[in-house]
Amino acid sequence: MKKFNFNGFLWIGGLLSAVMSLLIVTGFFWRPYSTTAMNAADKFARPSLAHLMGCDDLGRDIFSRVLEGAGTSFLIAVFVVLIGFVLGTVIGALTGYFGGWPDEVLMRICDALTAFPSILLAIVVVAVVGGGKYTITWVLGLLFVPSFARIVRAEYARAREMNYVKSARLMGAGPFRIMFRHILPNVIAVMLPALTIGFNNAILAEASMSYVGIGVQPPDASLGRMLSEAQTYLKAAPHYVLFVALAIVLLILGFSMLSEGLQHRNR
Amino acid sequence: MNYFVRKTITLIITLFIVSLLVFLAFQVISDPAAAMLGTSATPEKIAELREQLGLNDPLAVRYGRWLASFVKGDFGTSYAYSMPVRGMVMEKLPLTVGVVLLSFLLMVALSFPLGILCGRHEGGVADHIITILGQVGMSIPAFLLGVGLTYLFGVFFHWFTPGAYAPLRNGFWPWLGCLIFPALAIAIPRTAMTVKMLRASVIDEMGKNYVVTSYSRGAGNAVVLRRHVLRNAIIPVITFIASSMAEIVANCILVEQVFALPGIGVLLLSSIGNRDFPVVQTLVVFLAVWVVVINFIADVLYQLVDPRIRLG
Repeated sequence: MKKFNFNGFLWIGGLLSAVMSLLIVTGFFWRPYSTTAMNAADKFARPSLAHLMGCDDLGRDIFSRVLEGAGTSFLIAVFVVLIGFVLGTVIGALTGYFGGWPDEVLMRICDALTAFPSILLAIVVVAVVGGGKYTITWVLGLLFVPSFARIVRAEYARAREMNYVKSARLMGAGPFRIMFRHILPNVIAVMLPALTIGFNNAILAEASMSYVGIGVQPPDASLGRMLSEAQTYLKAAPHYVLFVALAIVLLILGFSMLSEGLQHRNR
Repeated sequence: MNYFVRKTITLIITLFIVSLLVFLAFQVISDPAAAMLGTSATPEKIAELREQLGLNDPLAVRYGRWLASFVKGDFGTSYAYSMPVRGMVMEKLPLTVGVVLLSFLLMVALSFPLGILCGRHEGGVADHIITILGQVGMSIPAFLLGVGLTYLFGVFFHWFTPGAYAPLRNGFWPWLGCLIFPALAIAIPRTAMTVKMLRASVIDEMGKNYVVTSYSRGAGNAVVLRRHVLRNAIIPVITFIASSMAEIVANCILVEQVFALPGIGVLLLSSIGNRDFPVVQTLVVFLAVWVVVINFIADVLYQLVDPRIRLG
């Protein structure tokens, strides 16, 4: 069914994600201006060569602030995906490989949890335990566990009956060696699209929560918080909103296309 | 009808579990007495209030009491405003329900024609354009799209005043006018996803043998599409549309914030900020019940459309 060999989604998405990630990682070490340096003369300055994205209400360089905000969002998303991926893989591997009633129970819980939009669950947890960047990182991370666990579980349940696993068992390999040395490398390819789309969802969730004020709190910057600040000056400085929004969209677009491309490749 | 009975029993059990979880989260993990007293809390005052509120009774008794009054419509009293939560919620509810329904209608009305068009003419110009637009549409979260729409239609074209809201009692049409842009912001990303699913589903069905058979019997395009392909193609999409109802509500909470619409979402977020637990708890129950009921309806619909499926 392949009509053309060039996997546009994979290449464009990969390029976009790579460029964005590179910019963000650079931003950790170097930014054109200090993000706290204010300059009344530059209030709402339009984009120029000196200030690529112009300046905000306090005359701070928007490009530098976007780099800083995107950095926070990026780090949170990385840890969210890491928590979800590691716990999800372990749970999925154990339940998928061993089966039985723990499998039944855990999958039922996963089903119940995935019925709820993750933003809704995250808002509920934050309502009980309070917000902040560390809280939302582990809350979102835990909320991402079911989706990973489910994918891994399906792969392990399938792999369990495969010949290479049976031969490994005959050779006397223990269950944990089989699970993590033999099966895991085979399911990584299936996990990649899930990882990228998870990263995508994490960026989105963090941005949404910080936007409505229950995620990252000041003085930390994040793309969501910057968007809600920028929205106040929609009339006076449309470029402020534009560049913050663009950063969010490009990050999400890049990783969603990458995920799409990876899925096509697996097929 | 065995299936519906079983599903209904599952529904009731699920609702029971949800109520128990919410009770545990808000009444046990977070101490209502401490929350009520806020900064003026001293251990003696807290102990006194705990006794007064009956918080020292066994958990089962407290749960029963809480559930009974909740079902009767008594949601407690807001800490922040000292007024019944019921009134506060009921006042905001029509707006949110309006936005959610409007988004849903927009989503269905937009995605079906587009999805079928793309699926029917796979690889055509329209298909390519819609697929690319869809990919971009999916990547723009609803609240961000809301900001974009505010700028384009509010600030640039002056079609509406950002932040202004006309209450329902001042007339239905101005009210609906306030809802249309928030609803669009919510509907567009969802539409993009539904189009993608429907397209794939139609393409999948079009390649099956029964389609070739009906063509060879002389059936026209329209008949094949309506009578055969759509009936099958729609099945996988139904669950997605149902889960969209839950996502739409979640997005509505965010988008209300963008357009400053005084609905459930703004109430929820401000109550979280105020640590106003009775309000938060009531809204959480409402939202949870909504999601559970929507899933129940989806399961039943799924079974009605495709009687082959008998889900546990």
